[in-house]
Amino acid sequence: MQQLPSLQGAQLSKTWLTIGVFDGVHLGHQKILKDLTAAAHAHGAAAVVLSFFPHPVEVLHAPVHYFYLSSPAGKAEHIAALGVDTLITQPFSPALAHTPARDFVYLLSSRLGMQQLWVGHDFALGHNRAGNIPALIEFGKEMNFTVHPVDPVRLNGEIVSSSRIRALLGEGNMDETARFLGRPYSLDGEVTGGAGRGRGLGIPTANLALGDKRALPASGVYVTWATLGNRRWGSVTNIGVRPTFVDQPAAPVVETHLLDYDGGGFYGEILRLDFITRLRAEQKFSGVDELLAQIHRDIAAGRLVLAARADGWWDETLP
Amino acid sequence: MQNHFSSSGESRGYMDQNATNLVSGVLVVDKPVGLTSHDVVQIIRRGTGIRRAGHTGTLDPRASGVLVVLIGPAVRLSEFVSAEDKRYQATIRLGSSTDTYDAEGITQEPEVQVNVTKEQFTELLQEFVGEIEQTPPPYSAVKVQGQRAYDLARRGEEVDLAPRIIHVHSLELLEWASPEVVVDVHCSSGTYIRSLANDIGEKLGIGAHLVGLRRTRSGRFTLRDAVSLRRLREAFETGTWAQFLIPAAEALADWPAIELDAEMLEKVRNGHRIPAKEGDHGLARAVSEQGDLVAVLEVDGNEWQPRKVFMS
Repeated sequence: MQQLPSLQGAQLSKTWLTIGVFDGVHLGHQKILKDLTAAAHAHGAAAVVLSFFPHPVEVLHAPVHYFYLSSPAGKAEHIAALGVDTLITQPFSPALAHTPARDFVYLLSSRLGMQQLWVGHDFALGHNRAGNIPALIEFGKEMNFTVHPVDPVRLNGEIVSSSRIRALLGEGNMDETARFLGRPYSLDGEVTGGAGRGRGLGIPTANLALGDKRALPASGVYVTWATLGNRRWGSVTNIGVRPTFVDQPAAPVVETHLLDYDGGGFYGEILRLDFITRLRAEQKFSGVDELLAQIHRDIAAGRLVLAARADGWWDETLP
Repeated sequence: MQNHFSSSGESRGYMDQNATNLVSGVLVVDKPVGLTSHDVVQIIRRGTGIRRAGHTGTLDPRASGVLVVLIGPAVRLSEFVSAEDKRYQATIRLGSSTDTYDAEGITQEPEVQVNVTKEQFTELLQEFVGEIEQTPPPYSAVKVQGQRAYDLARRGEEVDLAPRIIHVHSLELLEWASPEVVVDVHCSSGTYIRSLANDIGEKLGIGAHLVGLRRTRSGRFTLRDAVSLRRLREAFETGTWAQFLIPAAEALADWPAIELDAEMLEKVRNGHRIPAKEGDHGLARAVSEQGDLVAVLEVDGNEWQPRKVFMS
């Protein structure tokens, strides 16, 4: 997949386009991107995604914390996996937000050679959101492209949306989050030393440096897969402020214990965590012994969950 | 004729690919906290290589204890095994209620001082014994107009669940460590222990919610019959798991049995009715002269009507 850092530098032709933030590249996004790609290719056109970063909400309102469902790199990876030909990640700015709809559409038409535009029913672009679907259809007549409105994807009667997924993350409901995302929720970051207290307890952990932008699951203990390079380990991850210890860090800590880890030092490496399920809420323990006993129970349960959730023919549900 | 419900144990032991099709029985598992009931089934499917398996009477991920998993043709017993009585050890926290009726939820009001004595509490428990009306928790898998109650509740929609009649056979205080108490509940299938905890809190006027749940009995299977998943997985590794397989007919062993002679056996196998005796009622298991489970029967008028035939 070709990646372009902005619209301005683009010079494409014969493209079918969709526009959106696509944060998380969830099930709804996946459907539109897959369908767009298949349809575009069937017509000998290229499938192009115009995405924005930072999220418009951050530019137009206020900076966000613990909000993003995907990093820009993660988003690109998921979009590429769907067969899209070109991803344009346009920096979102107040100036862009104030561009009149017609001017913006002209840019799309001239820079991208847009033949067809796929958007949701409630989509609108340009200053004051003037470029809604009826307006886009009018522009299309003039600039020679068609507009293809797309129905939202529903799961259990609910529209799949990034905000719904953020709410599920906030509940720690990773099973449901994964169903809406179409894959487990993942976080990736550099492994930092942390306070090293886990090692003192005989349970070494890797702390993840994540910053304050990525959305975090509710505090608690989770079963996760940890990927380092091209190897994967089952792991048990704690998200929280470690209430048992006195010197609490101000920001949430994400630390994971890799099960049966036999690799080398991982400090400074990039580690990815895929969240499978939540084992329990954060708890306060009366002492280290009680904490240790619970950690061992968490690890035992984690092993079983991973054994149960591994892929295979047994995933099929029976009538 | 092939009887998958033979209690003679012939299907145990040797298991090649063909033999696995014949395996039929019950695995009683002590489910640990953190796994869904479905996770347990997946581990068993993988370990046994038998796809046809299912659990009865779902246990929440936060709950532990007796989970009955039916394997092979025995899955057809599911509706009967699921409907059996249950027994739980429930840890209830007094003094605060939550929206989910358990520790996962959001506390409704600030926790209040528990001013109830052990004697008062014990006495109050008896008000919940017998046939009682119970409303399922708003966060439950009960379907409301085709949608799961918890899906509606999560979206903040009003969930209007109809009360249902359940039966609490006994309710005893096991441990008084106020504000946490442990009770033993013996109840009909379909009883929500979370609702029971919440209702107890309401009656006390101080709120209460469920903080721990362990199922000690499901139908005729108790924790004594249950194997831990750790031991079961070791047995999968060593190929010795069949030692834990309980013959399917055992699941209904405490039901009244109707022994069939050759003539009646022929009728029942073909789904025809056989005469019932004065005073026969409800469900019974029909067994052959060899002791094999033939069918589940239900009284209709003065006859037994085969409800489900297992041997044909």
